[in-house]
Amino acid sequence: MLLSANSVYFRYPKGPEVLRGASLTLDRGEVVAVIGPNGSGKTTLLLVASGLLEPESGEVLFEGSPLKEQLPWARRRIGFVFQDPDDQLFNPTAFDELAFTLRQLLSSEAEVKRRVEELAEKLKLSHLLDRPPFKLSVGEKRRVALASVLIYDPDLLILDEPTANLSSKSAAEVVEVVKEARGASKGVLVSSHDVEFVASVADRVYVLNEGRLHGGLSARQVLTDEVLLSLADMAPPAAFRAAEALGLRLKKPPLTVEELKEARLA
Amino acid sequence: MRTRSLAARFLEALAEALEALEHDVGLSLRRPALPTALSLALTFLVAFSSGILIPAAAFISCLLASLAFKLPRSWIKPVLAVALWAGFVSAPLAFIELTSSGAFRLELNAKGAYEALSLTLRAAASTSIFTASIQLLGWRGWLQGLEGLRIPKLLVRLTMLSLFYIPLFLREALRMLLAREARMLGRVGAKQSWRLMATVVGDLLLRGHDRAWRLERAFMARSLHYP
Repeated sequence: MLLSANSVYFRYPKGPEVLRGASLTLDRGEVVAVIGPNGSGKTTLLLVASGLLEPESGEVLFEGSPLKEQLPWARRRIGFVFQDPDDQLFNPTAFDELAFTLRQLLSSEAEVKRRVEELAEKLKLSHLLDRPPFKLSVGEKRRVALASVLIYDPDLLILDEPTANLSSKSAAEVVEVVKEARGASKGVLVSSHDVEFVASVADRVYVLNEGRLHGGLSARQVLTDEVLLSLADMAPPAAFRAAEALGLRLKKPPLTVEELKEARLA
Repeated sequence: MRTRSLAARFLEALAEALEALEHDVGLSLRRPALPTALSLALTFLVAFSSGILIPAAAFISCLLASLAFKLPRSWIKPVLAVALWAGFVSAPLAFIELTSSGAFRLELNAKGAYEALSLTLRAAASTSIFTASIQLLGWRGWLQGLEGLRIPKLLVRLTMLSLFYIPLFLREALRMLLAREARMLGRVGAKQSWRLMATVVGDLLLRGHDRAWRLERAFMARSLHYP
């Protein structure tokens, strides 16, 4: 098991309890989504799971061992993308953002430069490298934030609301990145309000409500379960609702338009 | 159409003046430490010189250098801002005369006016050297130069963060001020505008604390040595 959180409790100083016995698991080659209403503690859960916050009680295990004991070097294998890219980007230029962690791993600046340019080329960021991050658009900042984490090839990717405020084209690019990470046997933990995004990438889904995680079942089971979705304050994916509205009796409830199309053709 | 208040225009001008510095023309130098040291030394020399000849010469040299290297004219904005402020602060000197007995007399005098002019010129000239060197080296080159001068990395990093966040906070303050003013009925006078500014400053302090906390998480997330 790549990551597991067992009965995690967390409270901010002088604040209410945000996480109350939350437990989840995530394996390599798996995409796990955490959904929940606003203010339910998704970001806090992700921060705890990545070791950036320490739980009051409970434990977070990374590859079977306590994550706390493996820090800070375990961060080499964990990539966290913040919900607000302005929180994540703090270097003078986009180039420096991508190079930040690499410079801690490699001694050759030439090698750092080569790898940054290679990834920038792949993610179509080359024209942004010399610009200060705060001068970029929201979409560009998000791509730089994502690139700054992908550059050091972590085993575990943690993405907090990765498609928030993105156009559908940019959101589709994020979907491709997540699928590619899964294909490369990485673990991906995402939090999201975007049911379409979750439907297109997640293998399993947890619902976070009042500090507790529910579900942990397959995406199909959770995203078509009205009770669980009501806990998350979300509606089922459009494809599922369309199938229901059309009175289609399908063996496998569709989560995406592609699945609906395939089911109709079959 | 409501025009922007004085406070909003002040914040905007300040943010623009600082952002004018970050235009990264940047000569690519393998060893930016020497030009950085030179720019720092000249800045201090001019700032602490006496009279008006040295600062005037320094200012004119910077103007000529900016023309020669085709620097964007925006570098003059921070210089003018500093000159305005220094002129404002030093103006009373023109009216203060030290008598032979050691007492002060309030009277317009040539010596006081000369001191006020000298102070303003020194402030403007040292700023122009500094801003011109930043424009020539680029922020990155300048910060690399500081590292090359063996300035502690922590100080360099703090400088970098200051350069990064001061314009951001100014812009954020401007947005907050405009949002508040948008909900004021009728004309926003100077008194109301500055009162709103006070609430913005308080808010910024709180947001600054919050942002610092999140910035620390961001550092930790990509730092392999930060505990």
